[in-house]
Amino acid sequence: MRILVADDELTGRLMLERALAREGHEVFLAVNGREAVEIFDQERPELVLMDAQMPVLTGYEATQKIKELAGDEFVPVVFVTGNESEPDLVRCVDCGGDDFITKPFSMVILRAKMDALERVRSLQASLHDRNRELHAHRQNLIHEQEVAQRVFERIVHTGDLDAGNMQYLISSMAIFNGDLILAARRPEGGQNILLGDFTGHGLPAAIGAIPVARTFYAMTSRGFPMVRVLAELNDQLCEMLPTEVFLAAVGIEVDDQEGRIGIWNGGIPDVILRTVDGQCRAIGSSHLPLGLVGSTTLRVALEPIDVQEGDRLYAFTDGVIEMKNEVGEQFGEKRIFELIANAADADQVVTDIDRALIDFRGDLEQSDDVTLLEVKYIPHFTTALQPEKPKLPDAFCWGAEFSIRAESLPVLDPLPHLVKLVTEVQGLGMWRQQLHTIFAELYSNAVDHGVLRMDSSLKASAEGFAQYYMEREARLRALSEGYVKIRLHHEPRPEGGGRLTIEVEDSGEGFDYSRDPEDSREESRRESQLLHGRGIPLLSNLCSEIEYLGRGNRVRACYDWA
Amino acid sequence: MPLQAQTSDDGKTLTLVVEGRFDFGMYDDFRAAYAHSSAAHYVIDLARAEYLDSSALGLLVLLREHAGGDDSSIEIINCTSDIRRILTIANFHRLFSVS
Repeated sequence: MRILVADDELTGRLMLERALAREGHEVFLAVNGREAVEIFDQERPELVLMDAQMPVLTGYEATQKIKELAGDEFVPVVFVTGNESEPDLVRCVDCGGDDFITKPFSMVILRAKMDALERVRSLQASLHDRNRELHAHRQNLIHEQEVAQRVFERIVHTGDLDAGNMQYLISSMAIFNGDLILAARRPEGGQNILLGDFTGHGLPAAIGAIPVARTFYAMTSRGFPMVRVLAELNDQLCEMLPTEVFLAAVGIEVDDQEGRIGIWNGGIPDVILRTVDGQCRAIGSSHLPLGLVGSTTLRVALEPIDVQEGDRLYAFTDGVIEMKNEVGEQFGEKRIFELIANAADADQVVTDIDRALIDFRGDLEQSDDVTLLEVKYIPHFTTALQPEKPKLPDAFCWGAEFSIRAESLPVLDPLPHLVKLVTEVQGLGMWRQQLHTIFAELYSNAVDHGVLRMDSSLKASAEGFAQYYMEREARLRALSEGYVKIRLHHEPRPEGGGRLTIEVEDSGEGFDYSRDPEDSREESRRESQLLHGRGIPLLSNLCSEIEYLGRGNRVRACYDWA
Repeated sequence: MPLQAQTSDDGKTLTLVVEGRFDFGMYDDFRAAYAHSSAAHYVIDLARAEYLDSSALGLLVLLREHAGGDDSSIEIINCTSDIRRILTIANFHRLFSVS
């Protein structure tokens, strides 16, 4: 051990130095307090033996300075005392000393004290390390969450929440929010709006929000009515989320030409309609939340409500109702209903509720995500608000063909290359996500069911799913013949934009696609409630045409962009 | 104990009595309580539950899946009015028998 001995008496110094050196310690000597501090600063010994009475700087003063220099690190200081009075001994501890030993003493006693202090030191050191580690982890976690949140914000909050007919409050108890509000205009006019509340809070709840937002915006921008969006979201969430996670949601479709609003409420507190003349009515939850049962069981149908200019809808998550004050009382439905019904100025309702919630909660911490949305009905709102069309890329006429053979199938992933080619040659960066989905579905169908002849009914159960992928791996490794060919053809469309035709052919046996189209639609609807069979309904949502050719081993999908 | 599990003498019914807050904090206990049960009928007694949040709804759905999904027989009994309101908003009476 490295030990500093500070003593103004030569005999005391030499005696300690010899005794400690004999035991294998490295010893530094100081003749007064100031020298003790200087040597400590340079040499950073692990233990200090300190004489109390020394010239220039006393042992007490030197100890104080040494403890300051040591900072978080524990460096024991033991006072070596002669005939000090009791108050002097107390002073040894007051100035930061850890122990004292009275002269004359035996080396056995000193060694015992050193051992005891060493135990304290190592305990302190490991605690210190652990604290530092914990702090670093925490910082890391916060940092990661912040980065992830930026990604989340960009995906989830990209719609037209600020279009002018909506006011909202979103506050969350974690960085991530289990609540979401999505709003987007349909190309032919009108608006789709979704207010949702995932079970749970924070990151696990927020994860599901990303695909929900993606699907909502993609389908709405393609003009799908809310009822189709809700059914698709329900199926996706059933497939994707663990059983215990689901999405309570209100789907709202605004038809600003006809004066009609459609509402679907699955698991959200009463939605309140306040008419322009101050009458209120509630639209209660009459459905299960999304992601619990298949869409046929769920019965997705919107309740139509006739509205006129100035009518307003209020939807909010249970965090609003269940907010508690200092005596544990809930904010409750009655309070919020009264705030909406009795507001003198309808424009102030959201601000009033926000203020009321803050006052009610007082200094208490929030315990759930709180989200509130107001939608005001303004006739011909979306048509008046023609979005400035982004400049479309020029459409060219071009084609390409890829062929992937058995030996390459297990190792080559052509998807990134295909997407890159199409987005770069034709400038379709805006549609990258949808193109990726289309290529991925077509390609995996060709490989799995065509070349590998996998039976997708295996995927009907959770265990089967794992089994399916193991079997797929095995067949892929053993593959000796087979191919997948991908042909791309692109041409401009007379009405603007272009059409990308993707033809995928595989070496498989194909299947009988000559069934009644009504039948196959029914089939795919049935299948879409199982764990498998997602590909085709998803594709038909994204593509304008899908057609099987040959013996069912060729499929042609047309994607129109504009 | 915030959660008690009682199996009936004939082994056919498992009753789970929840006390206090029924929320995410109960996740491990709740799942462990029925994990090895092969009861045909389940009863969730909420007489002494003070509060139920959406995580608890998730736990109920997990139990339903364990008990056979659409073929399950699960009764939620002794709901306080607050808890009944939450179950009603979520339309859980369509998945469980609530009384």
